[in-house]
Amino acid sequence: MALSLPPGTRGILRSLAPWVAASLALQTGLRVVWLDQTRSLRANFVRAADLRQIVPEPAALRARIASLENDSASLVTRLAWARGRTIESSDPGADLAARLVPLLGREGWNLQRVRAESKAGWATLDLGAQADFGQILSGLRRIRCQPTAIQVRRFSVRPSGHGLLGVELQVAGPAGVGP
Amino acid sequence: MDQVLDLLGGLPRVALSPSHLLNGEVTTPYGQDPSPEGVEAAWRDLAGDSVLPPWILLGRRDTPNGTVWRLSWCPPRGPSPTLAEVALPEGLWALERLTAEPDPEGWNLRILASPQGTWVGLWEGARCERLHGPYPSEPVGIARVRAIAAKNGVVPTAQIRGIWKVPSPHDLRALAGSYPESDLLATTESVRRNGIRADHTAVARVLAILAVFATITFGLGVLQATAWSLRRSQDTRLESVQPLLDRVAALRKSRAALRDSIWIRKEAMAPNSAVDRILSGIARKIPEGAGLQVLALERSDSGWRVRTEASLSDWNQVQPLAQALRSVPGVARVAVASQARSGSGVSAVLELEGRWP
Repeated sequence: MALSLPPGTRGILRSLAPWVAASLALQTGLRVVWLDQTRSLRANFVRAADLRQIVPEPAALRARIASLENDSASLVTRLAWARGRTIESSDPGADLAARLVPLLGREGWNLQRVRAESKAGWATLDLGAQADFGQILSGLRRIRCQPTAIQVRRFSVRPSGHGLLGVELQVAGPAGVGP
Repeated sequence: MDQVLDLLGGLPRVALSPSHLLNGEVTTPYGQDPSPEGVEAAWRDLAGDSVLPPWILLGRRDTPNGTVWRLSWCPPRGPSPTLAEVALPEGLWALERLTAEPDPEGWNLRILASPQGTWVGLWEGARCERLHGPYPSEPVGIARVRAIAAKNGVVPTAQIRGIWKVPSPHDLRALAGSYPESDLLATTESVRRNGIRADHTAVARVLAILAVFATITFGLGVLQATAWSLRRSQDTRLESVQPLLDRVAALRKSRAALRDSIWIRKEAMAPNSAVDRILSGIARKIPEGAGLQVLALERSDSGWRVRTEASLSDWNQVQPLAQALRSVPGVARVAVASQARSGSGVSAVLELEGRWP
């Protein structure tokens, strides 16, 4: 079927068709198709590059896991040791006194005053006693060798007559909430 | 490819077409080109009222009566080629080829064998006098042209053989541009074919634009596929190590929790205060005859601090005692706070600082 067009229209169509096609192709390409393609392209390249840098090799990860496991095991051991040195009791002050008072008594300390309390995670024992210098040293050595962590906060000695020394001692140990 | 480029460029297709050659002359006032009317009048003299065929100009000769133009009319010798917008007579290309040959002195015959037959021309130096053909064979053509020349009192002294070459589209377009009057196609047919050619050119240009669009899209698509493949491979790698990464994260969390627990119990990690060592260390440094009256120890931020009062026999024992105390393990600083006479001796207050041994 022959297409009948007004005179001159065919020539105009022939001239315009390539320009219209080029314009449409350019608009479609730049605004839709190529734009989406380049966005997707860039996103994928960037993501791949990021992953290449971020994701470690399995061998490195296994080595890291082994190292962390060793660290954890060491920390667990240290934590268990630290727990063992903490006074875990419902009344840590009394517990501390129960440990040290008999011990010092056995060392010859003549205890004249004992006061125990628990405060702010610490069990504190405050005591006054009379003993000779050797007994004092021995008692302090026994305190140092206790498996429980014990800090000497204050300590003083002064002559007390009869060849003895008056001792003022305040010790404290970290306390945990026991069962 | 050349044809595609010609189509995109909107260039017409030019083809050679078989035709006869009828020689004639047109005389114009000196220096003027022959007009179409003059050529048509000359054709009427030769062929009566038949339709004026295309023509080609062979050459010119200036005479006292004016400029004599030698020309050849080219009536078609068969159907014109269908795939061309311009159909040139084959004799025109033969003339072009023979004119390109070197020019000897005097009259000469120029012979060219073409697919349609043999073309024979009579030249005087570089000037073409006439061109005849195509003849079925070379001897016939040479004999006839020599006879025509002899009739005019001319004896060619040389023969030159041209070499036929298939004309390129570029050659033919240049020839068509130089001889616009020699197109064998009728005007209406020429307009119709040019219209179709223009339609095809427009369609080809649209298709070319679409092809460029498709090529760019395809190229970007290939890059997209490459990028997607790279990303997929990295994602796969991530998935393959994900359990390991989870394990690392869990271990890190666990380790942090353990460190926090240990930090909470850092006081429990510290060794017990070694007051006995400090006390015995100090006691060992007390000189003979001297003694400590009072000793007070308290914890400090960096370790411990001791303040003690020593009873010495004379002043000279104060500094040696301080010096001796500096050598006690754990002692970092010893200072004499005060010293005073006390009875028959000297009382010195000493301050010591140090770290737990």
